[in-house]
Amino acid sequence: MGLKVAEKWFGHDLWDCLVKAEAHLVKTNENPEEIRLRIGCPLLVRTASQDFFVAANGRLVEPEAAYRVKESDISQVMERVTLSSMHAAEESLRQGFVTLPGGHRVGLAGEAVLEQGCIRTQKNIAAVNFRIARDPQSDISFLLRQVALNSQGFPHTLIVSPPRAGKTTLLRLLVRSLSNGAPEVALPPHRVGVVDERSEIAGMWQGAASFDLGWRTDVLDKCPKKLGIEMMVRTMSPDIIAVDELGGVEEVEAVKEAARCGVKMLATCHADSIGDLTARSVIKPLLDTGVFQKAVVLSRRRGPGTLEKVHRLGNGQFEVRGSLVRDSKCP
Amino acid sequence: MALIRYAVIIIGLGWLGLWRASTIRKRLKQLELFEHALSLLDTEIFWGMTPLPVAFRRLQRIGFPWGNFFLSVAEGLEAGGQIEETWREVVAAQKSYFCLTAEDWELVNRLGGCAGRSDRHEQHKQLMLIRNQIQGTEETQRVDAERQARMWSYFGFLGGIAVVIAIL
Repeated sequence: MGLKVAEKWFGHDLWDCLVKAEAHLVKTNENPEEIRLRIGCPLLVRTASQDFFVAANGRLVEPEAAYRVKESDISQVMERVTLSSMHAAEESLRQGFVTLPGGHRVGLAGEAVLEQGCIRTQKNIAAVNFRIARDPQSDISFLLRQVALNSQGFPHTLIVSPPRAGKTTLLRLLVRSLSNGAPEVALPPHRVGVVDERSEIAGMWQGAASFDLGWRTDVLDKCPKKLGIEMMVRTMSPDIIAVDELGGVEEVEAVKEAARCGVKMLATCHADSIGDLTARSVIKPLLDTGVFQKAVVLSRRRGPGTLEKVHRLGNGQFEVRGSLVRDSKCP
Repeated sequence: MALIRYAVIIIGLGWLGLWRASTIRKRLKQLELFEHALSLLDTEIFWGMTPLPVAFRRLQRIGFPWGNFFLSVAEGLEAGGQIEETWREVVAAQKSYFCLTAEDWELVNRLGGCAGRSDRHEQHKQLMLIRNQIQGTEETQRVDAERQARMWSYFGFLGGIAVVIAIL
């Protein structure tokens, strides 16, 4: 997927540079992942392994010769991504990102406006990170065999990786497979509830999901994970609840509660390895209680989605009991 | 032959008078509809936090000519246009479908200048302000408009007769 998906969201000057840059980027054989705009700084396109600075004529050049992003470029992007509707983007500005149709995300950084110690909104946006979403249709049956086959049904599973290593993509693929079922690995269909606090899993836009999450998946969009997990358990009777980026104490408590209610949990978490995960004070109690039975560790070692290990976790036992898969490329 | 010519003059001027009278009545109706549209827009913005293109699309239900007007603005925004510029373009393109005066357009354009530019509380205030101004215009015009419309419906025919008498 190239830069074309971003056409609608940029002003004329920026888009002119980017459309010319597309031809040069194709030669690098790498997919653009991010377009970075910072007022007064060079226009930057980021791929999986490199940063490219783009000149006004579209050439990939040194930073000194690159197109300098203007304030008007950022304000045009802001007007377009908010659809000229600042009132509708209040929550997005507060959270620092806007979700676009197709699941693309625009990260924003400006000046935080505080109210009683909390961020009310952001003003004077100075940096924009346009993150291009991809929806790979990879075959993950080899991973499902390792993770999902269990005499007690689908095990509580944690996907662990550093940022930009493909954990949300893998979560999405797992949700789809669990929802539709995977006859090739004798996995029956499940009712899946997705609590998508940052609109990243489903990429919901005006009530419609940008990504296919399967036929039996219900999505609760932009809802805090703690409240969302409780709501899902009460109202949608899911077999499995999926959440992204576990991290808060309250979220961990909600996960434990849902697990006690007989709902299986599928979650992602930032960490470099299981060792690092156990060092996270918020997550450690969750591992101590033995809620999660499997952990899938991803890295960027061979590009995003490099499957490092699948761990079996037990009550307070985090050590690797067998590296079931190693060095496979997943999503 | 002369009789036919005189009849054409009377009918022609009479028709012009009726057309003017209907324009005056339509203006009031269109202002009422615009005010109704603003109240629906206020609900969409304040309670629904609906993005403008979606909110404008929903205003289609108020019917011609405002429904088409808001639909065109929504389409412009969806195509990547900026609100103020898109609003101005749609006003220029669709002005002929309306019977509004220059003062009325000033009020309409005020919405184009402020819509979507602030948080929902501020938007609510702006919309209320424009609605109050429209209601004020409507109230002062309601009595006058009916009187003027009646006057123009007679005026056309009487003017036609006067022209015929002058010719004779």
